[in-house]
Formats: sequence, C-alpha cells, structure tokens
Amino acid sequence: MKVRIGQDDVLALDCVQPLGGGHVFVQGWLSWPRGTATPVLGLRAGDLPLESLAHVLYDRSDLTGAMDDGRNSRGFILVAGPPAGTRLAGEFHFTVGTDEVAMPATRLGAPVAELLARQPWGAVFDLIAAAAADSRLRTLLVPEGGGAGALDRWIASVPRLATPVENQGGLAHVEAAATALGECVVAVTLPRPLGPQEELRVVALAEDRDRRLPVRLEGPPPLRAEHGVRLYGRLPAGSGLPVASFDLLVGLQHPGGGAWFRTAPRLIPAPAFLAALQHPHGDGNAADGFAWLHGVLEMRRAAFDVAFHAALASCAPRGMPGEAPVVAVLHDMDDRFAARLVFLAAAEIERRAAEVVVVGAPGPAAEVADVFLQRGRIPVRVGLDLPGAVRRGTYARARLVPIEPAALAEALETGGLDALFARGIDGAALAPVLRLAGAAGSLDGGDAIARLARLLAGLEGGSGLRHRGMPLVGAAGHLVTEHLAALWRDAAPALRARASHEPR
Amino acid sequence: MNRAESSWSLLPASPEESRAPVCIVVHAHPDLSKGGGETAAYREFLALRAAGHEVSLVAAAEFGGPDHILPHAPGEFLFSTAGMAEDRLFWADIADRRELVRFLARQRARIFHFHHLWRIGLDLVAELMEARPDARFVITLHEMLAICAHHGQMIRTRGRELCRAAAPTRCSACFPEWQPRHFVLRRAAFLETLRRFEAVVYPSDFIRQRYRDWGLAPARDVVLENYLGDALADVPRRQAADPALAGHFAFFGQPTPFKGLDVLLRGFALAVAAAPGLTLSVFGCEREEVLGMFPTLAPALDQAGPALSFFGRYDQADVIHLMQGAGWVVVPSIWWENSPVVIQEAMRAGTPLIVSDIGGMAEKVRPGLDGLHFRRGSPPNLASVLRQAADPVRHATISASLNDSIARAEFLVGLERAFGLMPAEAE
Repeated sequence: MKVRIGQDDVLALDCVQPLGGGHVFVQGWLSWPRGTATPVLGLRAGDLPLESLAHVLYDRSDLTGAMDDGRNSRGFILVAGPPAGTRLAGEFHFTVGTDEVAMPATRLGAPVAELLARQPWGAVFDLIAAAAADSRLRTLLVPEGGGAGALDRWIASVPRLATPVENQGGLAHVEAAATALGECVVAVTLPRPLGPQEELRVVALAEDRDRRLPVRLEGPPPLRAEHGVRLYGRLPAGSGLPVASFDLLVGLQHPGGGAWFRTAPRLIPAPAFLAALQHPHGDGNAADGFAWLHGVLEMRRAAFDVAFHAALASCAPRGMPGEAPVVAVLHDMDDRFAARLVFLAAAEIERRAAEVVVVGAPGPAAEVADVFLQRGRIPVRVGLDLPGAVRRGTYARARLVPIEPAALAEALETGGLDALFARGIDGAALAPVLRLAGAAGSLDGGDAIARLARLLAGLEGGSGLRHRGMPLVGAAGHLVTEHLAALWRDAAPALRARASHEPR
Repeated sequence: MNRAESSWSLLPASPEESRAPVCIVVHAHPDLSKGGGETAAYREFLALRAAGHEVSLVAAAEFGGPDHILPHAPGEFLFSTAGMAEDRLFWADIADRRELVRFLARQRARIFHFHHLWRIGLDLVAELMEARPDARFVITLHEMLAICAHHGQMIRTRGRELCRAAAPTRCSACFPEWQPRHFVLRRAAFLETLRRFEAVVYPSDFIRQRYRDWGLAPARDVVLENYLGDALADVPRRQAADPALAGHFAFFGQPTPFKGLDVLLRGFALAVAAAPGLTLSVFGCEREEVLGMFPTLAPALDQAGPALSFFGRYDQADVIHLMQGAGWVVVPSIWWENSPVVIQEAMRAGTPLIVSDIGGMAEKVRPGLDGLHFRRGSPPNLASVLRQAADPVRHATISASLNDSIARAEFLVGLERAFGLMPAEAE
C-alpha cells in the first residue's frame, strides 16, 4: 500500500499487524523531499493519538537509488499503543505532521517475525534496544503477545560467540565479562581503524523463564580507541545479588552494516573485572581512557553507596545477646599447619562456639572440618554460600567469629582465645557484607569472610585488603586499587557498628 | 593452655607416688636404629626399671602387617608409623592414631615421658592428654625440630651457615616453597603442644636456651645429661693419661655432612704435614664411604697417608675401650650438636676431647679442663689445635681434670625432679 500524503510525502506500508495490549506494529517506508525535516510519523485511533513505543528509521538497500533525485527515503518500524488508562475506539489513521491517511482495516503483509527476519539487523537491534527501555514492547517477545515472539525468534537467530575470541567475523579480539552485581564490559578490537560513525551497542538479555528479556544497560558512552572500543554497562538498580546469569546482545554498527552476536560474559569477581576494564588498548589516548575509567568508577561508587546503605538499613543494629550462638568461621586454612593448629585448639573452639564453618579452598577446608567431624562435639559445615545465607537468613540470629590461622596462633600463644572470640559480627549484617563483597571482592564466602576479618581487625586500606594477582598497574591500576580499597575502608565504620568486641 | 598452671602440682601427692609407673614413648627403638635419642630413651627405660619403677617403653617403628601395635620385649612395644603424614609430625590415619591413644591411655602409667615429637605426632600427644587428664606429661627434646624445619639442626639449607634464631622470613628463605606464614603456624603448633607438658627435659643448657629464646617457657625445664647406661657406666675408666697417646686422635661417627669429618680430615692433613708423628683413627665408616660423600677429600687423604686409618663400623659396647686407645676424641661437627653421646662416652673413657667451639659441644667440653676447642669448620685452626694437643703435658693435664659422664644415681635424681617426684627442698 503506497499513498501520497500532503504535497510532498509518500508513505508505503508493507506490514500492519495488531499486537497484544492494543498495540499496533507498522512497517514500511517513507519518502520526503531532501532538505526538509524528516516527517514525524504517528498513529491515531478515532480521536485518540496513540503513543509511539518504538519508532525506528533505517536505511533500506532496496530503496537506495530507486527513488527520484532530490528525495530522502528510509524504512521505518513503528509500534504504537493507547496511552495508559485509555481504550481504543474508532478507525486507525496514520499521521504525518498535520496530514493523515486511513490505515487499512485488516492485517497487512507478513507476520511480524517473518518480516523482521528480512529487515536489516541494525533496525531490529534498534527495536530490541527500544524494547529493553520500554517494557510494553515486550509484547513482541512472547508468542501470546501477538508478535508471535518475533524479537525472541530474531534474537535466537543471532550467532553466539564464545568470548574471549580472536579473529572472528572480522573482529580481531572480543571479550566480555560480568560481575555478580550485573556489571559488564565488552571490549572489541579491530584489525583496522575504528570508523568515525562506528558504534558499539550492547543490550543485556536476561533469562526470564524460557525466554530472553532485553534489559537496557546503564553506563557512560563507550571508550573509543584507534582500533577498538570498550563498553561498560550495568543492569538497573534493584537487580538481585548475585544477578541471574545473562547474555549480551552486541552490535558493532556502521552506516553500511555491522557485526552482531550474542555472548555469555564470563562472570568474574569485581577486582578481576575492574582489572579487565582498566586494561588499556594501547592505541588510544591515555587521558581519555583514564577519564573514562574514572567516570565508570564514580558511577560504580554511587551505585554501591545506594545499595550498601539500603542493605544496612534492612538490618538495623540490634543488641547481640550473650546467648546468641557463636559460629566460628575458620578461613584461610590453606597451610598444612593450619589444620594442625585447629586440631590442637579444637577443644577450646568447641568450648566457645556452637558451630564451626570452614571456608576456603576445598582440600584444606575439608581437612579442618575433619578435625571437628572426628571429635563429633559440635556441627561443622564446609563452605559458606554467602548469597544463600543472606537470602535464607541462616545466620541472622548468630554471632559470626572469623578466625584465621595466624590469629589463632597468636591467641593460643598469648592466652587470648576469649579476646579472639569477642571479635564477632552480627550475622544479620551479612547483607551489607554481601553488597561490599560483590562490589569490591568476591561473593565467595571464604574471600568475603577473610576480608571482613581483616576489616574488623583494622587492616582496611592496608595490604591485607589488596587484591593480589590482579594486573593492577600504573595510574589506572592505582585508581582501581584505591577504588576497591576505599569501598572497604569507607564501609568499615558501619560494619564495625554491627560487630561486637564483647558479647552483649 | 599450660596444664601445669591449672590443677597440677609437680610435687608428689604421697611418698608412694615416687615410684609412679612411667611410660616412655619414643620415636624409635635402638634395636632398629642407633640414633642418640632412642638410645638415651632406652637407657632411661632400663635405668628406671632397675631402680624399681614400673615402666614400659612404646617406640615407633616401620613394619608391615595388619597389626598397628606389636609387643617387642617384656614391657616394650612397637607401633607402626605407616599411618602418619609424610612429615611424621601428625597422623593421617585417624584410626591408627586413635588405636595408639587407646593403647597408651590403658597403660597404668602415671607419667608419660616422650622423647621427640617426630614419628610420634603432635596430635597423638594432644589426644592422649585429653584421654588421660590424670597423668603427668614430660618430654625430652633431643633436638630443635620444633624450632627448625631443617631437621632441627639450625643450619641454613644453602651452605653451611649456622642459624642462631628462627624467624618466619628467615625460615622461608631456607624453604622458599613455604611462605613465612607457614613457619608462624608451624611454630604455633609446636609451641602449643610443648606448652602442655608439665616439664621439658633438655640434654644441654644450650638447647634449653634455644627453646627459651624461641618462646617455650614450661612450668619446669630441666637440663639432664643423657645417661650412658649401666653397661658403659660399669667399664673401668682410664685413670692416667698415656703420654704415648697424646698425638693420636680418633673420630667416632657417621660421615654425614654435618658431622664435620671433612673438616677433620683436611685439618689433620695440614697438621700431619707439619708434625709427622700424628695419627688419626676414624671409627664408624670406611675410606670409600668418606670419598663417596666428599670426593674432593682424596688429596687430603693421600697427604695424610699411613697416619690415617679407617676402622669401619664398631660395636657400641666396645666404644669405651676403643676410645681409651686414643689420646683425643675429636668432635668436629659443623652444626650445633645438642649433647652428642660421643662426648659422654669419651668422658666415661677418660679420653679428652677436641670439639667445635659451638653449641652443645662448647658447653659440654670445658676448654682446658675437658678438652680443647677449635673454630667451627676451620681446618687450619683445627690443625693448629691438633698440634697443640699433641703436647704430652697438655694431654696429661686435661686428662686429669676431665669430667666423668653422668652417673646413674645422679641421672635418676634428675629424672625424678623432672617428673615432679621430688620434694622441692630436695631439688
């Protein structure tokens, strides 16, 4: 269907399909005189202007050169629906500026999924990006939404790339990583210079039952270098911790086309993630990279502050009664003599603790747990599922006493076991600890407890909290290190308020 | 926790207790190996039995078969170390350890006297203490294994540098595969175990001081020389120096790197070049063994020529007689030596000593009274001392003032003091 609207504009409709929720999907092309403004498309039902949920304009190769000289022609996809609280009534009309034309009363063209499969990937990506930003467009994702799960089917057709990968699809190197907080980084290196209009765009694809839900990532503009581009994004606040695993839909687009792929980012602890983030391309402006990293870290910090204080508020301080069960959390037991020392101290530990939890590397932890299993006096667990413990409130009414071998050694030598056991933390405060661990450590219970212990011992900001083995070098490395240390350091007073130095 | 500080008194509750049954737990049995520690423990066993104590000896050994504990002789038992961890400081096989603990706990002993923790297990000690809170626990530390992971010798792993104090970073430099933290924990485990003993017995003041410096402060620490045993104690002592023996030196022992035989052979070669009448007899090894261990010694051996003789292995029962055939016994160890039995044997024989000027050797041999000192590891200095020693007058003078080894009665008094079986005023 092709109609002239007003004096100059031509509107062609290839597809008109109703979607669920009163939404309408329209696809076609539009032509207007070069030098005049791009016409604004809209829909009206009776007297009610519909709300445009997605309005995608894109280049169509079949139109290039087919139109008269002196005109612009572009394809479009429009999804519109009634504003909230209104009902559809009357005939549908297309509006182009002040002009309008009646829409066909019946479905037109192929089903949406079939049609999208024929469209340029960039256009569909734009539609998905719109769907990520506006949940009402998710009608296009589910079969029952009227679009026959069109976007879902399109997403499923995008090739998967197992990253990191070299020399695939015209890309020299691609890597993608994520944290449990829902942050991700995508870095693409090209075998050629990055084009001035080349753009890296990423949408998260969250698992939602058996389908993929596009989710918009928040973050600064990607960092461009001569031969590559790097993007940092994070899922919106309010995502759980850890976030459910998610994929990334990546598009590196330029006016003539682009490369699109899906990938599952490697889930890594925050320090390793930030190390990957600060890794320089080597060919970019160092100052730009540093400034970009600085901005990312500021954004991280702001997001953390909100989440951490919300977690703190959710576990208001409470007096830990003297009878609160003590859980001795033995960590960093990775030396042969650690288990031996625990063996020698077992009776004293049993006298003071109702339960023992051993965290850390599985082998040594099992060896330590064996000490208590063979004695059979108090229960012992191996491993600490920190997110699970927070979710279930496993230790919400207990006092957790982190114990590492060197502290145990010192306590045994000085007769300071009572003092050692007085350094506990309210189990209810594990929620903010979890937030802290997610942002500046690892959700691994052993790592989190070890860092917490050092924090409570007053070593925050010192070498005890450094992330060894991370390639955090140079000014950028220092920036990241300081960012991580500051998270722990600044969280210390609040966590100390939840810690006890004597059972109350 | 120091048990002695809680409910224990080291004084006997009654006179009858002075004959309290004793169980000696030792890392080896002298029937199976000839180390100084096990020999000393066995001689203690015999001496206590002869003194009327009810005493048993439970020794570590390596044997196969289904049994973990075997009777060896009346009052003597052997247990297998097969279930121990590789370093023989803890038990890997809990069942083996528990069986041994049950066996020991069933002993009528009121006193458990341990010799060594190696091949016995720190965990075994701790578990037995829990199982027998009524008993007293005493340990004799023959070496410095708790302080030093290098076989307790306090000598650096690279080179022959002596170590004077353990420190985590220093120990880690000797064992780069272990971080300093490992040595912090290692020390703590040993210290925690040793602190639980009511008394610690040392064969020399040197080793006691090393343990004190290291941080061990038991309720009672006693220096008690190892007893040579009735058989050697009964051998008549040489009463007067034989001038003809003044230039005749002897070495008794194995050609291990730490015993310093290479130092002696080099020093002797230098000495004999300047004083051709000197002779050296080496007991305990053959020439080939020495060259196998120290191939570069061949020129020194050739230089010494017929003045040097190797006599191979010897029977321990003959040692006093063999020493009495020499003018001097040389102990050239390059490590500290805590209380080498060869010094006690030489004193028993009445043969003066030439020793390295360090550790237990320097302590046991009073210079000018029991023998002479030379600079540890220095062949030229030893050569000079050997030539001085060959003076018959000096030899006679020192032979006359030479101490005897510890007598049985004195040893038993010291032991009872360590066991807390002696009233305070008698100490």
